[in-house]
Amino acid sequence: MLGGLVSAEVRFVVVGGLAGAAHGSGRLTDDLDLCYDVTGDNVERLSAVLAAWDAYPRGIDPGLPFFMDARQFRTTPVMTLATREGYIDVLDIITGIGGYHEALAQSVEFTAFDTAFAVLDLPALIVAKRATGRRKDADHLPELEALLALTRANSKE
Amino acid sequence: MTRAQFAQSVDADEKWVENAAAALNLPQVGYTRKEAYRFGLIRLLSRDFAIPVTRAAILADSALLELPSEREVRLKSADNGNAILVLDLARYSSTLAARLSVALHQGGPRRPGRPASADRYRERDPIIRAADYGVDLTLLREELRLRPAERLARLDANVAFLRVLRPVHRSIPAPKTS
Repeated sequence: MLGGLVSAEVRFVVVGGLAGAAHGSGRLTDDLDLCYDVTGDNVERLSAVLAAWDAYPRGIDPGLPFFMDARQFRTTPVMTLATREGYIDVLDIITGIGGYHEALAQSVEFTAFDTAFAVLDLPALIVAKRATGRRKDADHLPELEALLALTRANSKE
Repeated sequence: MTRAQFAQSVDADEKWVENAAAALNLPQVGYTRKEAYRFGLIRLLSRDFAIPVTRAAILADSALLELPSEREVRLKSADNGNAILVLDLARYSSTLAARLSVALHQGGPRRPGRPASADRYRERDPIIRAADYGVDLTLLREELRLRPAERLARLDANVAFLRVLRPVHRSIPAPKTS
């Protein structure tokens, strides 16, 4: 999925559980959360990629019409989707951080699966998880904060 | 779904749902997907076109008799015939499906009570706090010895393994790994 998005020149920052895993979290996650740049050309590219992957709202019974295009992003800028490539959550704003440009300013570049991409850095990920107020995010905080402390301790050694 | 999830899926706050239910003389709203589909349209008509909730409900009920794929549902004509309100029901259905999905997946339980103040929270060593919480620190230390690419490759393999163990019903082909 990451390769497909990068190939299509979509501008995004990886956030959420996959970002946590990239920083060392042992939690399993099978969806890709990303914060995308809301400018028109980028939304056009993102929606085209998702349409090619047959994106459909996750957990919704099939049968309802669903348009994966830039207009859909204007009415519902946050979407939780199932695609033939995997699960993906797209967000225009990260609670506690801001939009794509704020997220990018607090990100690090990782390379995996032969693809380079931006990932929200660990301190920002902790801020974002704390800001949501959701129980499942709060449950993740002790592990992420320990990771940050261990990473800082390692870098001092 | 919860009332908060219901409100999120119809693009309103919980108070609006309560008030709309009262205006429609509904003693109780069933927080179901079907009701969300109806209330979402009532919300759209009352907010975007300033149609009173009771009248919006009548228009919504008549519109929802049509197939969700309908692109032009005529809702209302001006008395002099100069204006017609037409609903793109397929677009509405698409929007509602997306909102409902987000509400179901991201509108989960909130952390109860007030969040701990940052200062109080920081008083304890985060490593000790994590250990007390049940986090396996040996695993974290092992993970930190890996490069990010190796961590993500391991995650990918683990998720692929779990998918084999837990086949679930999907309306689309099962996702590929990576």
